[in-house]
Amino acid sequence: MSALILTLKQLPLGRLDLSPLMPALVSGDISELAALPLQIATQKIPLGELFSVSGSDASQIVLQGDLSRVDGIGAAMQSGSLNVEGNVGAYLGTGLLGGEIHVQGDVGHFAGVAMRKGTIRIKGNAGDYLGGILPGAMQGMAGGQIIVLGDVGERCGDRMRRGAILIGGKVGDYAGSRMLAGTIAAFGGAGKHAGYGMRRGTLMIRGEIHLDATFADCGEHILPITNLLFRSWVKLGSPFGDAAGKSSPVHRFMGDRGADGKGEILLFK
Amino acid sequence: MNINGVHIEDTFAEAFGMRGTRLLITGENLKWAYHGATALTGFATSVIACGAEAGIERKLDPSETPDGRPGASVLMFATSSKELASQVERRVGQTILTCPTASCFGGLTEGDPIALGKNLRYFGDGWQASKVVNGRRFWRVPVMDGEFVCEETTRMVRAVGGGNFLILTRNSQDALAAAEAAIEAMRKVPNVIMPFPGGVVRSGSKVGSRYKTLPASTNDAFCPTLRGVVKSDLPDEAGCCLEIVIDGLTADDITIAMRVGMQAVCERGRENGVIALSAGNYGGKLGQFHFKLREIMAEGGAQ
Repeated sequence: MSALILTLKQLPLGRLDLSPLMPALVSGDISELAALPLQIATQKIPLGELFSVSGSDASQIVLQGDLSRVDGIGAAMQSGSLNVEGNVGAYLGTGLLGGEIHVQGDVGHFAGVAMRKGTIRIKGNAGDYLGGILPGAMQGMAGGQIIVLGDVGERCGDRMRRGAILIGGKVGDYAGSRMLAGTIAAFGGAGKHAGYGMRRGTLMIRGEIHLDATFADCGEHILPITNLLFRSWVKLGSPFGDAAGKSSPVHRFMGDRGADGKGEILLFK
Repeated sequence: MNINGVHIEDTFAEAFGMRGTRLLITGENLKWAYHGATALTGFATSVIACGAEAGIERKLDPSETPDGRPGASVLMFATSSKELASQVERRVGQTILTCPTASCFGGLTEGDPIALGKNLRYFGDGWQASKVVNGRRFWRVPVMDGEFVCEETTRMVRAVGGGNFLILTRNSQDALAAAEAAIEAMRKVPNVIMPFPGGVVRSGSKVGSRYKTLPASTNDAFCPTLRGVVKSDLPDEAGCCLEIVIDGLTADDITIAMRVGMQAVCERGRENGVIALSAGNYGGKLGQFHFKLREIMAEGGAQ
């Protein structure tokens, strides 16, 4: 069987919600895919009118075309792989339950929100609320891994509960805000108010950072746990594996003392 | 059967089912990893009074450990899963938690999980934190030199304890030399430990005693100083007997270790005072595992 390839025929005028795709592939027949109604602005249009479909292996899906206005790609995906060749819209991999999503370009806001398992790899940049929380929910990302080679917007990992977000570039303001647990590592610095309101969890930052006064300076230490983390990232390549095996000290700050205060920001080299 | 002048008795070693686990101890350098591992496996020769039988399996290179630091691999065995869990916890708590720079990880990928750092974490008094790396949970407990890192659980498997063989020699010097040669060879075998001092035990026991309170007592049949007064199992020329006890993760591991050890003893041969090889058993009634010396040596190529 060859990979299921969906090619967007033309850039839609409004936002296109592709989130019904994955549930439809799990429960339905692939031959009925063309009839799947998709919401675009105020209208419902069958998938077949928007995408040309080829191949039949739903465990490896390829999305082509200009998807920058397509939201909810890979939402609720459970297994397999999903490759996207360009830029995508918002809510990529929402509530991801397994499998791998690869995006060659940039992704919009809210990528990986409420995800529980699986992996999202983004070659370009990501928008705000990466690995964050859905409106009304108590917890954000609850497992899995998000790897971004470029920069990330604001509120990355908002109310994150578990899992890891690795960022090759810079993470924006309020990184790890209201974080409950998990790990966020940025290899190109962080914006303002990192760890704002974080209760537990770890923010690891290499490069420039502006620390709020609600983080207590615990000094420089060699922490064996960083060996475990860095070594587990070696297979992800540069820059994530660069610090492995060095056993160099990290500067530890605990906070946010305005919240539970058991989170930490580790500055590493 | 006779190898290089050494008589192989037609007998078997009797071994028992145990529960076992492997722990990986790492440290800032090999010295401190070994301080931890040595303390962890101290006073763990026999389950009769130590609660567990434990030993260092081998040295670990930094490339083999979860945190990339040098370390030691330790095997620990006990008679029941409950006892093993209790021994792992109290030993790690008293020897690895306390050992400067040391960390502790589970070293088996299969088996039932038992607590490792799961309860030790409460030493952190609320400052403990966990981190999940590649699906494994590690606890970080603040201590006076930084952090004690300990995996939440280790895996426990059904294992075998009490594999053994007896080295009968002319005198004590010959026995020590033969036993040392055996241990040196057996230390290279994976999945086994020899829990006694230097891997060797001199106080082999028999079941029962003339005293009501003792379930076991000295194996008088192999005591050279009693040769004239008890029914002795020592050949006329033998003036000393030492035993090597082996615990292993599987019966096959014990077989390999016994063969390697006995081959090393036989290589020293009659000219170095080795008279015979025998084994300790209880008539075959107590243990599930019987390791027949002649079969083991024949499979190793001996005639």
